[in-house]
Amino acid sequence: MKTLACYSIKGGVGKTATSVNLAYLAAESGLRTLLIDLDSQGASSFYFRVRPSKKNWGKRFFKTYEQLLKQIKASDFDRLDIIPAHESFRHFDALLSDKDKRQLRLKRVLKGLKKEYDLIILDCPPTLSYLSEGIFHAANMIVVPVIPTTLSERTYEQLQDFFQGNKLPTKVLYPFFSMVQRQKQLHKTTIERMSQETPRLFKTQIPFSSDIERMGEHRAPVNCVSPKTPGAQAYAALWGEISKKLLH
Amino acid sequence: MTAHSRWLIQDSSSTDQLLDQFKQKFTLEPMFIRHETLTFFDDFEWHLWRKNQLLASNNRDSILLVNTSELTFFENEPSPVFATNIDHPTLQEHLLTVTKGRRLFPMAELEVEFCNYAVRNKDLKKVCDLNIILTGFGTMIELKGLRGYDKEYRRSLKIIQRKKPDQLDHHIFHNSLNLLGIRPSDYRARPQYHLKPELDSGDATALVAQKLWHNVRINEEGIIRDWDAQFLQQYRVAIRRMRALFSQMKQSIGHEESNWFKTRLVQLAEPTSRMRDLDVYLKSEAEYTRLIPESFHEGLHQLFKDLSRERQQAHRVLAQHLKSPSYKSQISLLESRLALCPQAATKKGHKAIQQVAAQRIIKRYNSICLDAIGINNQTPDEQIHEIRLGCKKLRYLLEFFGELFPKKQTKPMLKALKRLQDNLGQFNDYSVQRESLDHYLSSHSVTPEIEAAVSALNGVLFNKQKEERAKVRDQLDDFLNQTIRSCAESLLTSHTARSNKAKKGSLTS
Ligand SMILES: Nc1ncnc2c1ncn2[C@@H]1O[C@H](COP(=O)(O)OP(=O)(O)OP(=O)(O)O)[C@@H](O)[C@H]1O
Ligand SMILES: [Mg+2]
Repeated sequence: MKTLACYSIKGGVGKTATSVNLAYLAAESGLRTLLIDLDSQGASSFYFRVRPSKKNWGKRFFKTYEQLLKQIKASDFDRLDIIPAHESFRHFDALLSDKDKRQLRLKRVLKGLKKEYDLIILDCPPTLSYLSEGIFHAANMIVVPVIPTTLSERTYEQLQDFFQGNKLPTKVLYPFFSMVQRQKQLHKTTIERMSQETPRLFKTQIPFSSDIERMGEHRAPVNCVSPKTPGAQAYAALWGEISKKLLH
Repeated sequence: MTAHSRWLIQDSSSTDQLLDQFKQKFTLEPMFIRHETLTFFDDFEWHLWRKNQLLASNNRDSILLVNTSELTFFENEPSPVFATNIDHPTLQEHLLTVTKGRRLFPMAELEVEFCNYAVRNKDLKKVCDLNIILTGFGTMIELKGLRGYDKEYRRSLKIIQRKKPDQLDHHIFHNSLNLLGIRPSDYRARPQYHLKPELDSGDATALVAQKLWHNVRINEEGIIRDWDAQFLQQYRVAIRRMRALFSQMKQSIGHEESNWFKTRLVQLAEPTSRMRDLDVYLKSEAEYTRLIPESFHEGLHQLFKDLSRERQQAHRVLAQHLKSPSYKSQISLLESRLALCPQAATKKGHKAIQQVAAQRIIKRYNSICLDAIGINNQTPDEQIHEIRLGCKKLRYLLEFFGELFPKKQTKPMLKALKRLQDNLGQFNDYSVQRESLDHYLSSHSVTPEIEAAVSALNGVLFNKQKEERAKVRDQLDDFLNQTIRSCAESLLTSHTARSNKAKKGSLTS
């Protein structure tokens, strides 16, 4: 079982859009896939029309994997299951305040799922927090959407600094360009510069596309609704790159 | 893991009502509706049917598999002929195991309508799958739950149960084919003999022989038409079993009759040997290619091209032979003698088969024990072959007469024997393959490439043979241990067990 996190310190960069479409593509390729929506906003749960349980179960999230099993819901698609977000996930950091344990709690609890799943995808909230430290330890690969702007570039640097400062392996970080608008000069020059200097940058760029934007209306992955569109094709290419690296 | 049930509904109006009732509680979205004429396939031994599985083609582009009531579609698959022709890797592997690679024949047709509905909640999230399959023999309703949506599943269940449908244990296709009168043939590569323990051993022998003879005859057409290589193989195995039977039971039916049959059976099998050898060769092409370095592959490829041409020729000759008057008269002579067998049963031939069989089995076991004494890594190969033949005889006895005894008395012995035979069989196969490769070289004029490839292969096979050889001693020890011995001895009545005790001491030391 592999764990793939979709993460960025910055909000609104396409983490959820990426998680949702990668999860769909992974399941379609035959992997038993579980998407865990760690963001209390519940955006990826929304895209799959899955509602969180009414029970306030967030405080048991890190207890045992059996607790997680109870919350799993099937998506409409074969081999793809989801753990929807709950608003109590907002309090994760309070649960993880114990310094000794917090780094490995998530990793340990996910391990229990390895019989049932080949791939776990984590859709993460845009924060640098105790939870994200847990994510950094649990993930085999962290894909980071970067909008090609100076501000986004800065936050990616911040993330690398955090990794170095905390003796985390930067080799699990895989950035890629998201919401790219080539006609914007800023995007163009940022892409040119970063392509030169950024290790492990994926070749595939996700274009800014109205099909992806409209995912909220269909409430389904764009790779399911309109697989021929440029946005969907870009996600398929990205999944190709990721799966090659992650599963060799 | 998720809930799943099926029911049978007879009239179509209640299906419509059912759908209406679903629509009152849920959103029902038809996902697909397909109208198909399905042709069902199975092999000569009905392997699929006997495992409760069904394979069908829509005669265009899809194959369906029903495995323990679970239906799966495989798209982009034309009508199947052999498992090896199938594209989809999991389906291919599955069918290869079940049908053992045998040719698939169409055996029935059904007109079918499939409807798949997604049962959705207010968010339009799918919460259940509802399948409705109509065959003209009834309508199957199938409800599948989705993980995390148990409540919705229970509500859907209630809607269906209000119609009081019949519970369905099998897939509707099974029921429909049954109603169509489709039944598997009674052919079994390993026949069941249903012998009574108190039957005269001479009569029992004749009964077993007749069942085996049925297997010989039934495979002829498949050989002539060359449907698949198993027809010839099973034809030969049935003859070999008959020979073993007559040889093992000669004391019951008399030496003269036993010898008569043995001679005729050898004659019957003889013209089939060449083709069987070639089949065995051709089957191992992939394995041989794997065994030797790439530089020899071209030579090997040439060899196999020659061999397959030779096989075509051999098949023509054999098919002619099987259709010839001389073959037919051979057959009718054998059949008339079989009908009269046993013509002069001996005194032993009038003893109960259970007792005679028990004596034979323990005798065989003891003789293997004797042969096994002193076998080590230096023993000449001939002695290993001797043991292999002894094991084969024991295996035949257990096959013919094992059913006369409680399973728990024969099972441990059969299991241990099988392991030993696998080992000895492998050992022998490598040696036979090497011999026949040598023979091929000396009897054909071949290109230098072929010669090089064959020598390379020979070297690899020799090493493999040595590896198997090294395992023999351990396998023998397993087979000759006290559990198996007690098992063999328990077959005898207490009276015969006593008379054997005296011999036992010298054998186990
Ligand atoms: N490639 C794209 N082209 C156009 N719109 C996009 C694209 N990717 C995402 N969006 C839109 O941008 C918005 C933010 O995207 P998304 O929710 O995927 O980002 P996020 O990083 O998960 O955000 P948050 O940090 O809030 O979780 C959404 O409305 C989404 O539909
Ligand atoms: Mg998000």
